[in-house]
Amino acid sequence: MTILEATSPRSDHRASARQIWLLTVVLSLLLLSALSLRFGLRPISWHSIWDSFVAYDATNANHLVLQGMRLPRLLAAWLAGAALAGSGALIQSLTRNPLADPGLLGINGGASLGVILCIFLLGISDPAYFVWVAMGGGLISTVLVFFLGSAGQGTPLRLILAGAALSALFLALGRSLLLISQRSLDVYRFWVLGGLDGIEMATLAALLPFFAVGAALAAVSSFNLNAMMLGEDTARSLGLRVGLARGLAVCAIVCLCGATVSMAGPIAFVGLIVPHMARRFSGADMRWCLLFSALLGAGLMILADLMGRLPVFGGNMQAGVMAALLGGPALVWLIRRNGRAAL
Amino acid sequence: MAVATTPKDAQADRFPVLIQHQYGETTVQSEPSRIVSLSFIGHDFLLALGRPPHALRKWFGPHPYGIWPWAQEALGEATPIVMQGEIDIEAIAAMQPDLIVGQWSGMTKREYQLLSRIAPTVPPQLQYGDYGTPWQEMLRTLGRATGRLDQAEEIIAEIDARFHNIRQAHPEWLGASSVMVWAGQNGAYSARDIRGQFIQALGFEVPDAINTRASFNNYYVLIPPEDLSPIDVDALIWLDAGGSVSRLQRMPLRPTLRAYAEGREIYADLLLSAALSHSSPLSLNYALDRLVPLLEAAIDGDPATTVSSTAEAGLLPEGF
Repeated sequence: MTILEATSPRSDHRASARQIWLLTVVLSLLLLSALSLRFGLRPISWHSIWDSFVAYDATNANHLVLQGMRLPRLLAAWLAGAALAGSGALIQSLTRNPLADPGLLGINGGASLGVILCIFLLGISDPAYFVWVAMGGGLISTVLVFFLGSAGQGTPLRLILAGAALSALFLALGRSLLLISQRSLDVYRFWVLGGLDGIEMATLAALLPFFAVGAALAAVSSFNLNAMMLGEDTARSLGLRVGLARGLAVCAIVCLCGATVSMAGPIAFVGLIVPHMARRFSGADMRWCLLFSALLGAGLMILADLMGRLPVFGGNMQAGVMAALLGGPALVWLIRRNGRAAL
Repeated sequence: MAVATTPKDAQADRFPVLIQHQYGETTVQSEPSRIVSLSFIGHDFLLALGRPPHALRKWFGPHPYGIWPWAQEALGEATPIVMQGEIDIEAIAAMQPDLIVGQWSGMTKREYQLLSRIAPTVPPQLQYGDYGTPWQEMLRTLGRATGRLDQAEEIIAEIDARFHNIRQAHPEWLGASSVMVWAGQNGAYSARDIRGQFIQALGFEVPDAINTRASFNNYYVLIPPEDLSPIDVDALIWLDAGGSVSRLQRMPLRPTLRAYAEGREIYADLLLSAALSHSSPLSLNYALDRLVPLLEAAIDGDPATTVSSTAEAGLLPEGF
């Protein structure tokens, strides 16, 4: 870690640029958050937004919409975006694979299968219950992936292969069940698009511990991953227990992604793309990369959710779909601008 | 099959019959004995005509053969083959049917062409679209295709008379607004849907705000949670396919609805929702038995009268 803090005129310059970027990103994020409360199908004035916080009136429809719907979905966008992008940065660094995505650890596949089984076997169609089955499914599959991936000699590559294989298996199992039951399909297809509709404060509160633990583990892992950047042998010689460090990072990813997928469904692209954008501002330092990823991820989710609510897109396009629509072109732009070196 | 016991041999003279539909026309040469029903609700209609299908397409629900309680008696000892999911043409060919009926099945033109090579196939008529055929037309078409037109007309006259009598007894319903909404997703059924047709047959009107937003083959409109005004009606009927009570309880804007404040919400449990969603000659009577008293309680003008099903589901506002 000390290696990376060596000062030189160039890194001084770099550091101040980074702080300016950080300020810009934070301010944009606050602006986006305000816009997200302000705009939607129902026009609500700034004044009304202020009132809903300081003088809440349970009979005022605007206040009900703000406190019961827009605020929870804004907070959910913050959490989901930051968690997905942060764990994307972790897994890309952990596996040294720029195209790695948190979905590769089998979390999305396991969570999806859990939700399908819940609809199919128990006939439950209330998304409030999906939180727990998705979490369960995600955890079980990640444990399986970790077990398979570390059998014999555990390497990041084995982990990814096990994740990809199990994800494919779970998706195939889930889809075959959906083919049998039309009604399951109807309920499932809204969940699987990934969105922030109908998220409630109670759900957020219940998942908050997972996000908190995940964030703490991610912060610790960012130091470890910095040390591992020069190779595992170097890291060992610096006194780092590589196996433990890797395990902690995986735990962080599982907590963050498991909580996100159970809250908002499997949202693709955010975890893949945002770390690449973040690296443009942060440089190679994993701690800064994680911070920028979390902030930019939150921004992307809020923007996607906000755009999905615009009348142009029918007023209720799922945030997961919009994130992919925004993120796809952004990735193409990044690649064209920087060539493969950026990845 | 119970064919021989039915004293309606005179109807055998009616064959062949020609049926016009959205993909052209189909001729049924003689009285069919092995009928495959691809419609999600069509088996109920065939059972009403005393013709249990050889195979049926299960829609939803926990009942054997996908047959709901109102049709259990009509099923009798019959044991139809149960199909689920997409239309499986190979499996249908193996059944060697002599009639395939599929109004309310969503069969595509290509599926129709393949099915027609197996047996005479009846898709919906052009003007009604995939899932919009009124129950009367559906029964009439099946009556013609199975040589039971007289029986079909009798059933239609009976049920229509019942609707007529209910309308007569409730002049206050005439022109009042009402809509059925699937509670799972806030999907409001337009007047083109069989559930919209049901509520209109009682004298109510489905709001224009919903009808104008539904298109030809789109029978329900998703109501955005930030604006429930399209379903702010005189009698609001929540259809629950299971597990949506807690969703209704937590819906932020529901307390702003007139129907909520004035006790004019009607909660339809799984069985009543399914009866309304089938709208078959057998389920209509069941649905009327249960829904009419609930509508009476909802729309009597006195907010103090509680709607029993809504109260039992725990959906009444505090103070009721």
